[in-house]
Amino acid sequence: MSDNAVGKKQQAPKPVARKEMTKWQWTWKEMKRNYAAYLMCAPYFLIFFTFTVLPVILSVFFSFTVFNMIEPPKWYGLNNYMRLFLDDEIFIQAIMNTLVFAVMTGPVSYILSLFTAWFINELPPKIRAIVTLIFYAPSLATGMTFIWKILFDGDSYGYANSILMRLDIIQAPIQFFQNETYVMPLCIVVALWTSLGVSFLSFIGGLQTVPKDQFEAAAVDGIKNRWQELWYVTLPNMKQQMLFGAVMAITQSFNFGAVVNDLAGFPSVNYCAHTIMHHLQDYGGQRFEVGYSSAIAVVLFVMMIGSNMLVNKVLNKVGQ
Amino acid sequence: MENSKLKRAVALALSVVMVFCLFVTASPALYATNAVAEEDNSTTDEALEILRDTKWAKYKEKWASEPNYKGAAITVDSSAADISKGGEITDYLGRTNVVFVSDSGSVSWKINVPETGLYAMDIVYSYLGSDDKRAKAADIERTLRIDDKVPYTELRNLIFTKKWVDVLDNVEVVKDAQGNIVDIKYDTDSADNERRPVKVIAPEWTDYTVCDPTGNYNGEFFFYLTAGEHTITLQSQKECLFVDTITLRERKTLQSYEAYLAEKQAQGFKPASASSSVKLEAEFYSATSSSTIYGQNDRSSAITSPQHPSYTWINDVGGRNGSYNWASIGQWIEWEISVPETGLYTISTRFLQDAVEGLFVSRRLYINGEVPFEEANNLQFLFDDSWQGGTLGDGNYEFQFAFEAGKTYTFRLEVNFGNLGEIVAELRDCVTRVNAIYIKILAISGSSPDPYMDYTYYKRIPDEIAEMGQLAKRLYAVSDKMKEISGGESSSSTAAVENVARVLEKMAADSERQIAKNFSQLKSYIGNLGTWINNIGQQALILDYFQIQPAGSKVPKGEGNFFQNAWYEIQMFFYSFIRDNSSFGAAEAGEGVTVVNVWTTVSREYTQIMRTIIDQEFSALRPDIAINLKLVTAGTLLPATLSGVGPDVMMDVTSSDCVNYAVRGAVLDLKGYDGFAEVVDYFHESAWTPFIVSLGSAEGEAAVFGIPEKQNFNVMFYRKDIFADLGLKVPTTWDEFNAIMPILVSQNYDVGMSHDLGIFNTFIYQNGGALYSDAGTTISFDKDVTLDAFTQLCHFFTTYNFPLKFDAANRFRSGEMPMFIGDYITYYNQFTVFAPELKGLWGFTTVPGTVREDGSTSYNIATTMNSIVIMMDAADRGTDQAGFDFIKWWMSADVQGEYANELVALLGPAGKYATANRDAFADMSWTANELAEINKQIDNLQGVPEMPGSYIIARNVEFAFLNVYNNDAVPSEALQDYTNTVNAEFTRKREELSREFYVPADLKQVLADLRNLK
Repeated sequence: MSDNAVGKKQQAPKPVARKEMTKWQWTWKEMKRNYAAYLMCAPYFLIFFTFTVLPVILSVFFSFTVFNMIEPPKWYGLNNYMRLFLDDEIFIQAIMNTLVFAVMTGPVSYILSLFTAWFINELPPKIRAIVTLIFYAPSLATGMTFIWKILFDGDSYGYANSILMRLDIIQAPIQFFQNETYVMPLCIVVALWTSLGVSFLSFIGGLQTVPKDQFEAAAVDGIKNRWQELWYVTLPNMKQQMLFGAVMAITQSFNFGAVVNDLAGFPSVNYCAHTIMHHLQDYGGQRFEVGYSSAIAVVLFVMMIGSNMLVNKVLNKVGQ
Repeated sequence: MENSKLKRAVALALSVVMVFCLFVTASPALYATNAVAEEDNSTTDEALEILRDTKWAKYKEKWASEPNYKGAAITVDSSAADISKGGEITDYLGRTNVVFVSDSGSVSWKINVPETGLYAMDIVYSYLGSDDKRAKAADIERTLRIDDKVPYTELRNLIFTKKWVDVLDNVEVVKDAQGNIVDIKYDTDSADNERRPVKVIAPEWTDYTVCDPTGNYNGEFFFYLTAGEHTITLQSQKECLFVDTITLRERKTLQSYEAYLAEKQAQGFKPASASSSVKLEAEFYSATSSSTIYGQNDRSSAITSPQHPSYTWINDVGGRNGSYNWASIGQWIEWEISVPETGLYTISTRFLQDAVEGLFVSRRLYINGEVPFEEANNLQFLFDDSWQGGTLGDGNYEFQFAFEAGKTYTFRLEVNFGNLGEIVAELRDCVTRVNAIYIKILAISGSSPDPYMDYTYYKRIPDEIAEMGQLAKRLYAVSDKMKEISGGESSSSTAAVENVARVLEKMAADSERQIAKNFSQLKSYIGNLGTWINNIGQQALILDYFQIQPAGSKVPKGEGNFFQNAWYEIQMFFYSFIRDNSSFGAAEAGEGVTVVNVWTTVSREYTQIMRTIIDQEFSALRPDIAINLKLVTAGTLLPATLSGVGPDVMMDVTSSDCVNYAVRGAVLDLKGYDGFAEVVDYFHESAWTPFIVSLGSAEGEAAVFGIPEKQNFNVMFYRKDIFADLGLKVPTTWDEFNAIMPILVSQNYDVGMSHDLGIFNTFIYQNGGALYSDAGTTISFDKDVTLDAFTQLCHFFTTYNFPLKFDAANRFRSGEMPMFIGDYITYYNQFTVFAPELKGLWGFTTVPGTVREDGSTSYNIATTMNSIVIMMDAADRGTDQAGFDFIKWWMSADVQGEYANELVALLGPAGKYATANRDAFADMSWTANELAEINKQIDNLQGVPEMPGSYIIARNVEFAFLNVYNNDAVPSEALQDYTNTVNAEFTRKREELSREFYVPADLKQVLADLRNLK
């Protein structure tokens, strides 16, 4: 309505066709027309931009510099990246470890969550609630890894050591978290234990939203077994939850650093459980090399985006 | 496959059994050889002596039937004193020819005893005033020997208290007609909060009757002496002491309260009239026994007098649960009163006792220096979470005291155990015995005995098994007594006792099956019981005010009524908008005042104490500087500095952070500031090492980036009793250390040592090496000395199976680990508090040294440092010199000593603080012996330089070590593998950073130059 009023006053300017405008002009015009929407977006956008987008941009910028957080940054070109890929053995090891953790806590835990959720969903409602809590609890209480620490403590009074010593299987306590042989397997076990988290919960929710009539329709259409039911009915109905779960699982798997820190200390013995996250922390926090750690962060960022795209592709195949 | 695994397990089990049999048969042989090792070793001898000491309870039982001496007192003075072992004869406080003994040495007196019998002993003593440098904040401690023997163990640590008074010269004291203090107008700080007065020692001649310093027994001690000449020796433990006379006299017994009252009534004392009551605020005491007992502020109750909803007013004295003020046995507070009318009065008080749940805390009452009657030994204050009102009494009577008008009476309340004393003594004795038995069992079957193994305890320790049965009976008896006191109820306290009793009972009844089965449980139960005994030793109590009034008057109310409380809370709520009581900030900047922002990361309590000391002393000393103190978390400094809102002065900076900031230009070089030259000698040379670097080259100009603040280092702790038992000498060199290792291992003992960089450095420097080579540009992992040191370190863990991880305090206490090397202050604190039952049975000494090729022994050990730095921003703000002046003042011996002592007051004996200032050490309450050991260690401290990139060293040493430990790698090769990694990091850092730091070629020369700075 206001458009019309303005139009009249300005004595009917020549109507402009979309074709005659550049893309930017057109966008600007559209923005002016929908200014209320932009205004309402603004608070969120400002915060999101300042605290999420800007740091990403900054970190990309810093990755081309030498910056120690106190003195002003110096331009360093691509040298950080060259060093990262060509002259940093530990980084290569960190990538390997990250991928191992990502595979274990990503797909493995994802599938595990899905099936656990599916099985639990078959239980009667009251029992289901209790079992859900039991499975969800580990990820609810984040600091709970200390249980594993006590269990596998290197002291001869640690549970595992104490039992093994009492049974005379070992003579001296094993340093579970300071021995390369044990650190990775233990961390993976703990990772799986804690990863049955948000995605698991969203699956349970998703499973309950699948309409009953579709199962009946599918039965009429000739579904032969529960597998087919899962693949053709249940999963396609849960795509949104599955996408959410997958994104969460990926983010979690790449960020899987804190648990290792808790268990194996920082850095883990001979970097055997060193992930990209740890490498970043090492250079950023301990060595004051923000430029270099920004380069690591950029690599991590790219890896995450890549795997998200991969996941989207895979999920689109569900039910086909 | 499965089969072979089983076979392997069986084989393993069999070989374990065989190896074990070997141990069992080998151990007697080892015992035989140990006897040869027995040499003169005074420290362990003393422990043995302590273990063999008679307890007072036994002594009393043995001699009580002897006749009491009756007749004139026998007094000796300095003319009978033998001062050849330290001490001098001097004049002091108006008396001539008195004996002075410093905090080491001993003095003996010859005394002629006319007839055989029981005597009590009085000692007239005095002490140095605060103006003398040698006077410290601790109580005086002495061991009393008669004819060179300690008659009973309580005499080992006799406590002579000092009198501390508030300096009230500059404040207005309002008194009423009788001279009772009605009000004190305390000084206030910038926020109008009251500031407590300074405390000083007010020396006077004190008449001390030898009695129980542990508080377990009431009444005076007696001595059984035969006719003839005896020597009485006072051997120094802590602090200096003047002794005028020592008197042996007839024993006195206290009358009962009924007798006291009857006597006074017979003398014509009648209950005073209702109008003659006197109110005395408890914070207006006349003297206390410790510098740490002072008036405090209570905000918890609306009716604490005086109270303000926002300002901090001094309104009570004492301490809450967990406080160490007026809570430890023997501490006292004294008040002076005079009444308007002669008559009988009760003393009522408003108090808070939230410390000893289910039981009471006790105080002993003295009036004019005398306990008026037997029951005054046992004033009881019952437990409650909130404030209470009550009249002094023992639970049966509310005591009435006879006061005459016009006379000033001092009454003193001293912390003691009251009725609980003998119970605590009995429990302590039991715990000591159980511990001794525990160690015996440990030596037979190790720390986790196999329940299915036949250890033949009944053959090897028949006496101990019998004793376990007796101990169980004794403990049950104690628990019954406790129930009797608390009115027949079981509580967590009695449960702690009965748990131990039950396990002992089982073990005694069926030793072969139950000892192995319940062994670890016994350990945890003894631990619990020990902790309980500890807690009961802290008898915290707060007093608000006294009401001296006739019997039957209204006692003070505990808490306010609903309206009082509500009004108080409302006021507090609204004041919270206009007043900020939570900041540690200082005065607003005025004309010509420089505001210095100081950040610290220590805990809130520490910060509060710092604030108080700054307010009281620094602001008076330097009115032109205002200190703005802020408590922050450790990670705050970096982002704050980055954004330019950082502090001027940052405290608690680790040495590696200090260098990291320095090399990036974020902290100032301090050597140019006025007065730096004086600071140089505050600290041991080693403390400076990490903070002084040479710029450009090893000979280049020196720069100082931090002032040492805290200095930590290792000492070797050992259990005297176990060493004495095994007849071993405490090793002073690593060769000796290695020599006793097989013996300890064969007896199932562990030895504790960490494998961190600190210990590794110790080995390197003792062998004459250094961590860095080439002036700090490379690591010395390729040098023979370093590799040997690393091999030496690994050797302990691979050959003797030193545990990599252990709870040192627990294992040391239980005796599993009779020797370990650890940080001196952390573990000293832990053992003092954690294991009081071991008092006198453990000690610490220097870490063993290495005998070098030229025959000399090097005792060097590495130290770790924290520092205070001035940030670069301070130079722009112009606060750098003021900041430096603050640091210089803060790190001076007096202030550090005061800070350390305040921490002990707040946190108890566990509050000892590792100040880097050498002289401040001496100010803390160490015994002369301990101080000597620490000083010996400090003399041999070795600072380790800190270079950019040094963080890489510790982790690579750890990797190398674990490679040896886990994978049996050859130590020297394992370490050498990391040489290039570390050097590459160093080189990279040097390329990245514009400033070039080097290790000074000659630190001594650098320090000498700094001393001569003008």
